Amino acid sequence: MNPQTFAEMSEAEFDALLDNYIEREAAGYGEMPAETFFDLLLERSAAKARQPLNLEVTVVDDHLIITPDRETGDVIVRGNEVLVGERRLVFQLAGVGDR
Amino acid sequence: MVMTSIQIQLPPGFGPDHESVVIGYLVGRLYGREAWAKAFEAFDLLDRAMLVTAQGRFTFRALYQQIVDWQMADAYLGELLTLPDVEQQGPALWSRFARQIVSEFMQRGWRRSDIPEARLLLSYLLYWWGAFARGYALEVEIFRDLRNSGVRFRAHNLLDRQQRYSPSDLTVSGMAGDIKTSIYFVQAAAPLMHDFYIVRLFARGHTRMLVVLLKPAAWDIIDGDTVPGHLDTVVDQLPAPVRIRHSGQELVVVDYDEWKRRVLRLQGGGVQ
Repeated sequence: MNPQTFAEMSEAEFDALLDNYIEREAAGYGEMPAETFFDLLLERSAAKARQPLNLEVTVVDDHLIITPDRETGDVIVRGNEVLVGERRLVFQLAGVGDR
Repeated sequence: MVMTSIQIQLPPGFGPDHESVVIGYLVGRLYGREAWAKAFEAFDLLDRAMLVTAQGRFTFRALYQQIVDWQMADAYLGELLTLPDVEQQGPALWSRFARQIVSEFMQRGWRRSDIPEARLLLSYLLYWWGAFARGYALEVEIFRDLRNSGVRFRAHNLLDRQQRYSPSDLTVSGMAGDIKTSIYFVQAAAPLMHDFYIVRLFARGHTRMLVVLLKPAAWDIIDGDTVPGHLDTVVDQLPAPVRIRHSGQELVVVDYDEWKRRVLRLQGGGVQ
C-alpha cells in the first residue's frame, strides 16, 4: 500500500513524513469516513466486550502505578485508580514480604 | 542528546502489513474498510510493544502514559480552555505539543537510524496524542455550542483530574453521554454503555460532520420515530433519525443539530 518501510527511510525522509503529518493534522484533518466508522465501531465494540483487560502494576516509591494493556472507553485507569462505571477502585500497597 | 542502548520488541503478530498501515496513517493514505481495520489492529498490537533500556522494559502504552499523558495533558487542557475559538485555534495547539513529543523522543536518545522500529514508538505516541488532544478539543467545542444553543446539561470539569476521568462527559435531561472523535471511538471501542454519543466524522468529500448515536431507549425519551437504515447508507439518510443494527447492537443515528432541536423541545425551550 505504501512504498517505503521505516527501515528504507532516511532520517530526512522520516522527519519530512512527521512534519507533513503534523502540518496536515494542524490543518484540521484527522477523522475517518462515516461509512467505515459505523461498521468498524460496532464490530470492534462487540469484539472488545469479550476480551479481558489486563492490568500491570508497578511499585514506585511505595506508590502503585497501574497500566492497562490497552485504552478502552469503559474502564478508566489512572495512577492507582480504576474507574468502572460509577465505581472508583483505589488500590493501595499493603506491604511487601514473605507469607 | 543522549546516545543510549535501546531495543524495540514488537509483539507476536505484528508484521510488515501493520507497519505499512501505520505509515499509511501518517501520510494520510488509509482508504477503505480493510485498511482502517488493519490500522486499528496495528495500534492495538503496538500497545504491547516494548522499549527495552538499561532502566527496564516499558510497554508503548506505559510510555505514552508517562511521557505524554502525565506530562502534557494538564498543560494542554489549561491552554485549550483559554482559546476563544477552539475549532480554529485548537489544531495549532495540538501541533505545538506534538512537536514537543518529537523533541522529547529525540532528547531521550530514541531517534536511532540503526533501530527503525523505534519510529513505530514515535508514531504510536503521536497517534495517541492526536486521539487525546482532538477528543478534548471537540468536547470543549460541543460544551460551548450546547451552552450557546440553550441546551441545559451538566459537564465534567476538564481541569479536575477526578472529574475528567468520570465515566461520562456530560448529562442531558438525565441521559449520560460521551463526546468522541471517530478514530478514538473506534480504537478504544468498548461496550456502548452510555445513552448517547456525540461523534465527529467525515462524510463523503471529506466534509466534517457531527452526529449523535443513541441507544434506542434514549431515543424513545426524545422522539420515537426513526427510519430503518444500513451501515453503508446511514450518512445519506441523515438528518432523518436512522435506526441501524449490527453485531447484535442497535443504535439510532441522528444529525447533531436535529438532536439539539429535539432536546430543546424536550427541555421545554425553542431553537436558539
